[in-house]
Amino acid sequence: MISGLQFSLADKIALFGCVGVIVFLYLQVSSSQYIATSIEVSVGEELTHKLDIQRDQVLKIDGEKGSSVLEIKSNRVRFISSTCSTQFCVRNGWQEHAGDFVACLPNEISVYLPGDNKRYDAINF
Amino acid sequence: MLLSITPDSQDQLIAKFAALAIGIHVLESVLPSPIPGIKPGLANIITLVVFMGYGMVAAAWVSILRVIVGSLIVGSFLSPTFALSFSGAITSLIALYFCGKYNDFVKTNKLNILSIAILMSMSHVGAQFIVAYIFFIPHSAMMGILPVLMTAALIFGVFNSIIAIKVNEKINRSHDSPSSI
Repeated sequence: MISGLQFSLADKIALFGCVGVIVFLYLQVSSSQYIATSIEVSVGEELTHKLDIQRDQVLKIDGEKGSSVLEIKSNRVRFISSTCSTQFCVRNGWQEHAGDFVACLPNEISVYLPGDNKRYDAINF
Repeated sequence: MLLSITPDSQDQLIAKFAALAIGIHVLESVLPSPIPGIKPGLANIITLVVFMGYGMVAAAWVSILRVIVGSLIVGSFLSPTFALSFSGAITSLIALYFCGKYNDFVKTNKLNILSIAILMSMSHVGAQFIVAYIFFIPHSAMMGILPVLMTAALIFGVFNSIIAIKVNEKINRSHDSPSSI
């Protein structure tokens, strides 16, 4: 490359180590983004369920006007079905990241995913 | 009581190289830096050249003088910028010291100046990041920019070391012939 520049074993180790550190940092950053720690389900004002996002389950929540069914699978949560007429909650689909929020307003059931690193600071609908 | 300091030739050498490094530092400060904290660090070329020709102590003098006087001229002395700059410089000098000690200790498999340069630049940026994280922005989102900073440190370290090698060659060639640079 440059005249007179020799690369000894120590040089290769140093170079490899530095590149390895950089690759490691990129992987760290990409894997730690927006991880949700749990699922908080509230009916009306009060927090009724604090669920583990890593445990797959299907559960029925009774709300004000009717009930909704939540599914937790593969570290995600969604409304599978609901007794409301508009079905916005179901149509919002899978919630995955910290800070994600979905609610069934007629039933007053809300699902929130808390976490340290939120994807969005605030969302307005 | 008068204090009398007579500069010897070593002092003059360090002063000239430090002046060069300071000039480069100040000129480089006009370059735009779209990502905060990423600079080409061109003044480190002088540190590397001084280390190659004159050893660790001279390189340390030139580096620290450059950081202090450079920040005085630019106007950031004792500011947060200076804290980052100074901590980075000290850490890179510590890395340079250990690289030099390793090269003295070992008979073969020495580190060449390119490896020394990237170890210096990455430790410089790493120390700056730690200081910035602890004292200025203790937020976990800071981790997001660390890989970018380290990549830039690696690239600019290679770039600066190549220039330093070329400069060193020119200096050595001019010592053989009686012309001055």
